[in-house]
Amino acid sequence: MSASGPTVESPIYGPFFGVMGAASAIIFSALGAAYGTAKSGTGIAAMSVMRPELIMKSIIPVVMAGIIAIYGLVVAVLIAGSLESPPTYTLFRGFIHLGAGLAVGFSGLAAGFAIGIVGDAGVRGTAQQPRLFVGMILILIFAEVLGLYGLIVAIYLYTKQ
Amino acid sequence: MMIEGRANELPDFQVFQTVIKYCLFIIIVPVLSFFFVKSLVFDGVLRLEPVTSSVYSAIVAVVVLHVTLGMYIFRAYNEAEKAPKPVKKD
Repeated sequence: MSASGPTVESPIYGPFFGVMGAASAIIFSALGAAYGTAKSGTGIAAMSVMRPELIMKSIIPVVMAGIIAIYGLVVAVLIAGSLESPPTYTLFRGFIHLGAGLAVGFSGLAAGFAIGIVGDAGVRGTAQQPRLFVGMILILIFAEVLGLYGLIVAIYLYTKQ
Repeated sequence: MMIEGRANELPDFQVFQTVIKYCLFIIIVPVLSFFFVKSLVFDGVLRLEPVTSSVYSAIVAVVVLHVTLGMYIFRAYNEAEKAPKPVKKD
């Protein structure tokens, strides 16, 4: 390593922002995914008392909520992979990583909330009217795409270094 | 539309097997594809920069994730047709 200590461009606290970006990416995504899983899980539990044959169709909101957490995991792994110690890690990269983590984290939180509420109402409705299933899937996909937008912005931010 | 008995259901164990199989598939395959594609294809064969190869492998992993999710939705959607026809009871 050529430079020996922190400089003005890359201060000692620079990696703090990057670490917080990686942490917030997975924390907030997991928060959204947990809410989505729990909320649609209560719907599945209430629905499958009467229609247990629909369980396999009703698991879909839970799987989609899990995918939100995988978005956060991908960004957290990307950020964690490029963390270094201060002389090579500039403050600018720290800010970029914090922004990327917050983008995917809060988008995942929002998408997880949407998936939870839609999944709860959707599986209860599908038990009474099976033709609702297609509509539920479409609404779930639109809810999940919100998290995907956050992932796209996060990856786009991540490449700016 | 209430259904009496369990005439047109798949057996419990078969449903469990299918769901577990697809859930493990959806969780493991994208994560494996991320590291597999990164280490073998982008770093090994194409020799890209670390940042570029990470981004491309992340994109590959997300695409694979959606393909596996689509397979599960397709399977769940077709489940009703695959189930044995209701047995007529007199």
